This record gives sequence, structure tokens and C-alpha cells, in this order.
Amino acid sequence: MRRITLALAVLVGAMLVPPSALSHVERNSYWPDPGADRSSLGGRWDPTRAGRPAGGKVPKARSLASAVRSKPGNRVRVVCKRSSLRSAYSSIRRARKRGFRYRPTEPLRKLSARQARRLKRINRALFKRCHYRNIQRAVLRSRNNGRVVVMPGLYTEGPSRAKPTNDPKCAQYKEKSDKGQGAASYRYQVKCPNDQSLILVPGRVLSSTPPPDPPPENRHGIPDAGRCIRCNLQIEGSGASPDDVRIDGAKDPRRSQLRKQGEPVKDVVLKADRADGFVIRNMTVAHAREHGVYVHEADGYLIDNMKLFYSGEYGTLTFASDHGLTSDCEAAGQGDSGVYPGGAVDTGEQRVEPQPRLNQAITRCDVHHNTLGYSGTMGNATHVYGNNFYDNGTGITTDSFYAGGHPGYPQDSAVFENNNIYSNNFNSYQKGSDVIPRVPIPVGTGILIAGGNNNEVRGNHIWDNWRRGGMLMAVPDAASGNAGIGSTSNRNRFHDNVMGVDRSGAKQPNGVDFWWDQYPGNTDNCWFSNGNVTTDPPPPFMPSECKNTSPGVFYPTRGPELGGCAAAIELGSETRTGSGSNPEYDENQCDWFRTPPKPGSSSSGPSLPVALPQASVADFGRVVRDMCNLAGSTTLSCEAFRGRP
Amino acid sequence: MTGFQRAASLLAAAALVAGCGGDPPARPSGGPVGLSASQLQAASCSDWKRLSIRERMAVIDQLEEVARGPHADGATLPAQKAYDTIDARCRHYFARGFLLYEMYNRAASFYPLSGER
Repeated sequence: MRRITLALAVLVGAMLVPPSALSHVERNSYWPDPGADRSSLGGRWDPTRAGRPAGGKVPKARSLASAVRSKPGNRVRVVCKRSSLRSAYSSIRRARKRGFRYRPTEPLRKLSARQARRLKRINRALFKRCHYRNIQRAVLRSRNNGRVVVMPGLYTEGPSRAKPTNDPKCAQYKEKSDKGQGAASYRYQVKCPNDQSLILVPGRVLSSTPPPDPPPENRHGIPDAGRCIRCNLQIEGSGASPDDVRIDGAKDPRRSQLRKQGEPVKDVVLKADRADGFVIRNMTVAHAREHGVYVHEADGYLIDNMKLFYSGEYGTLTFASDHGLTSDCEAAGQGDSGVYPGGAVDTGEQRVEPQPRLNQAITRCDVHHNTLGYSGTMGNATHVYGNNFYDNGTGITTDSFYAGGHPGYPQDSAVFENNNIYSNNFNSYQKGSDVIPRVPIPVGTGILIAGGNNNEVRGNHIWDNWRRGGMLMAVPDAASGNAGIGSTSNRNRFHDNVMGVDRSGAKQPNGVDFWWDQYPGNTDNCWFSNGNVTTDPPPPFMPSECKNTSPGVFYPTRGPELGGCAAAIELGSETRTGSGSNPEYDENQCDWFRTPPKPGSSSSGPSLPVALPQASVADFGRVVRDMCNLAGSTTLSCEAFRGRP
Repeated sequence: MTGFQRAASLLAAAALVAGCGGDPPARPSGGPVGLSASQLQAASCSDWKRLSIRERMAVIDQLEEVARGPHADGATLPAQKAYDTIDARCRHYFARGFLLYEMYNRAASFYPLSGER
């Protein structure tokens, strides 16, 4: 019997294909209770009964200086290397004399002599208290309101990386999820903390209640949330800048370079799971197979002064979380996006709360040299302001492409304001690129909303994106039974943006400032107060009044792009060109992966978008009138033409 | 929807599906093939290219099950269409890292426009 079982196991094993990357299927995710959780205040896990309720708001970071003050309940665990104090001194000296930056576009910061003396004093005191060599060990010893201070050095987390990935012993803790069998349940994370992640912060005790199967459609409230055990935990570097503490997930971190690809050993470098009130600051995280910093089902988090480099998918993934803030960060080299607040809480149009609110913010970040800068599938009610998105393939995208496990369909109510979105012409699809793209996106685009509703794009400076400054397109309903209804891509507003002009006032045109697919029947999308802009379709079809219905007259011309690029539905011809394993790519099928020519250069296209109907300028007014009469819609920008002879 | 809008949709649909065709690959004829669930989430074109036709079809079935979702309301693609879509894109070097489930979901989202259902 044993031999038969073994033979079967070998047979099954042989038939499974070994992939290049062994990932983890994510569990069904729920939005945490947005109220403050008082279970972090006491109980047997926190006998001092000191601390604050967890969640309900963005947590405030405690100062580094407060880590060396002795007071009840202020339990600080210090992690260091032998050379940490020496490294701290030299980094402080460097920060005093040569300066440092949290992100590339900000002015140089320098420590004053007093600040430098103070920081040295703090690091000396911390070094005396250091009892840990690995961050994971200090985290697992911590309890509610705890702190882990990490002194300067390279942290490879030897014991964690030695733990197996997809350990068969942990398979018993997996569950069925939207993404299939074998999902990494919360129990799995607690029981096998380093199977997926180099460092795991499990925020809550296990509950005896199993998660429901199938999951309910209403994802408000985590059904199997135990009480807080590591809520309000703060992890921070004690160096002068984020460069001083480096957590590297590469196989050979001593040889790998931060700003280059490295072979990853774990899917995630640091994951905070159900850890409400989580704070991480002043560190560099690099080389995860999937995500650098991953915050999952947490109410209240702060990601501050962080640098995130060269992870396979996301620099930060903040999934199904609430009351979050990511600030003063740099994210570069990710195969998908630098920052990704996906599956965000429905606090916008689809809210259950009485008033709408923005639930997560990203500000003062430089996000560059990724396939995407910002991405948010179901990135609902996020607030993205005061950032720089540059040198990505596409600067910002938010979408409703259905992906199993993403609660909150369709995406709605994000606000993108006062950002600089420029020069997003990085082509990660080119041979020799140092970034491996994970998704198809249009190279040369500032901001793309694919199937979102009620988004606000205002007050941004958008320039030098060689394809398009802003794109708006519908994603036909991903839920069966709704096909063609057009419940995505409505009520989006683009206004008060400065297009094609850089911050110095110099002209740096986008390929075309605004592009719209004009999906038939979409309502109330509008573009106004953006100055002199180029648009596709032309102005009469880009409503400036926000009460309108799309006539859809241009939509048929979008078919090749939407079908060939956005959907990438096989159209036939691209499989027939070229030969061998890398056939010639037919750019007529989809030119998203080609770097567009710089606007105004000799190789750039005609000034009128190629998708326009082939009508002479003299005929154009008549064409518009006929279209408006046919459309029979309430498109106000058609009013001037409707009914004319 | 007005008649004109319906016509526009049909035109777009025609553009989306123009040129589809080809012989269907062989369906799997039993036995456990494909990727384990944990592998499926990160499976990319690089993995696809290493699979046999039988194994690819098994992967398509897995992608369909996941896309359909726990409430069986997610958009899906016919197996042949899914195969052609992924196979065509995966032939190119630039797509070596593309996630199969991402490609499947995007194509499935647009498939209702094709008018083939």
C-alpha cells in the first residue's frame, strides 16, 4: 500500500510542471473593521496594559529618541550587527558632511552638528541594548505596542531564508480561495511564518472560527480575526537615512547591487499580516520574488522614509487595508509597479459607511523606472498626491481588470492630485532592459484609468509622456451577466491639470494630452480647465460638461488597440509573422510595447490622431453633426452641433 | 443603448475578433497535469513555453476555474480562445515575465464584446 502511494505521489509530482518561480496563492481577503481595536490595550499578551487602541486611523510614528527612554510599556527590541555602531557613526558623519536624500528629486538634507551628536548618542544607547541579530526573531518576541529598532547594516535573515518555501509540512494549513486551492491562509502564515516571507509580522492570534467557504460577497470585516497580539508594532532603522539599514532578499545579497536585479529567495521580504497600526520606516528593502513590503488586511499602517528596489512585482503591496499612509519613499525597478494599494476598501461610491472617505494615501514619493509607477486593481478611494512619477512605462494606472481575490469591483473614487507625472517612456519590454515586465501596459503614458469610476485627476503637471498624458478606457464587465452594460468608466473627471509643460514652464508635449475610448453609453466623464490641450477624440467629443453620455462614435476605431493591447485577445496576424521562438512582433497589432517617438521629432506621427475618421477638415463639422444626431445622447459638447441641417 | 450605440459596439466587437482561427489544440485526456495552485499565481510566459499542449490546456482549465470565482460570476474565455491568446503573446521575448492569470483575466474582461457568447 505504501509503495502504491509513493508511486502515485511520484507520478503526480512528475506531471506537475516545475515553474521558474514557486509562488503562494493568496487567501480570500477581507477589509478589516475600520474602528479602533481595543484588544491591543491589554490582556495576557500585554501585561503592562500600556498602549493605544489599534487602527481606526493612520498610526503616528514614535520618535527614535523615545526608544531609548525608559518608561513602563515601552518595550524596545534592538537588532544589530557587530559593525552596526561603526556603520552608524560613519553614516551620521556622511549625512552631516555630504548630506542624504530620502528620494532623488528632493533637495539634499544635511544633519546639523547638534542633530548628528544626538543621533550618535541614541545609537550608542541602542547598541548597548542590542540583543538580536535577526529582525524576525525580535518581531516574534514583540507584542502589542512593541518596537523593533534595527541598527545600520545588511540584514539577510539567515534563519528565515533557510526555512523551506512551499514546505509540504505546511500544506495542511492551506485553504481554498478565489485564486484556487492551496491558498496561504492566515493560519498558514502564523504556523509557517517564513515559508513565504523573509520577515512576517503576524498581528493577531489565530481564531477557532474557520473562514467561510465560499467567501461572502460582502468583504467588510475579517470573519476569523483573532484579538491583537502584535498591533501597533513599529519597526524602524536607526541610521541617518534609509540607506543605512538594508533588508535584502537576494540569494547572494553581499554581491547583489541594490539597484539591479538579484535572484530572490522568498516571495516577500517583509509582510505585516492583520497587524493593525503597523509602522515601518527608515529602511531599504530589495529583491523579493514578488513584493518588497506587503501589508495585508491591516487597519492602520504607516510606510515612511522607505526605499524599495527591484522586486519582481510590487515595491509596496498594501492589500485589502484601511487607514494607510505611504510617505517619503523611493520605489524603482519593480516588474509590475512601485506602489500598489490594491483591493482597497469600498469607502467611495460603493461604501457601507454614511459618508465617503479616502482610505489610503501615498505622498512625497519618487516612483521611477518600474513597468508601472502606481497600480491599483480595485484601488478604491485612494489619495495619491504630491508625488513624482517618472521614467516608468506608465506613470499611474488604476483598473477593474478582474483578478480573483480582488474585492471591491469595480474600482472607484480615487483622487490623483498635485503630482508630477512626466517622462514615463521607460520601455521594460526592450531587450536588455534591467526590469522584467509582468504586465502589458502602454509605454509612454502618464495616467491610465482602465475601467474605473468616479476618479478625480486634478492639479497634476503631466508632461513629456510620448504616447498620451491621460487615458480613459472602459473594461467591459468582467462579471458575467453584465456584458455590455458599461458599469465601468463613468463619472471620471480630469481638470485643472497642466499639460505638456514642465515645472520650469518649458514646453514638453505629451504625444496627445488626453485619450478616451468613448465606450458607448458611458456617462459623465469630463475634461475641463486643463488649458490648451490636444485630445483624441477631438474636443467636440471630449465633454467638458460633466453631465453626458458617450455616443460611442469613436469606439469602433479603438477595437484594434483595445483588443490587441488591453485585452490582448489573439487576433491572428501576430502569430503568423516571423518564425521560431521569437517571431517578429507586429506593431500594427498592438504598439503599446514600442517606445513612441518623441512628440515633435521627425519620426513622430501626424498632429491629428490616426484614429480620427478620414474626413477632410472642411467636412469635419458635418461629420460631427451627423454623429451627434445619430448618437441621440445628452453629450453637452454635442449640443452645438445637434439638430443642425 | 441606442441603435447607434449598439451598432458601434458591434463594430468594435468585430474589430476585436477579426482574424481569429486556427486548429484547436488537443484536450487533455485524463491524468493530473498542469501547475499546482501555488505555482499558478506566478506562472508566466516562460513557464508556458515549457509546457506541452496537454499541460497548457490543463492550465487553461485552472485559469478558467479561478477566473470564474467562488460565486461563478467571473468572466471567462472559451478554452480555444484562451489558448490562442496566451500562446500568441507568449511567443515574444518581451512577454517572458507576463503573468498568465493577468493575461487571461484581461482577455476575459473584453471577451463579451466579441459577441461570440
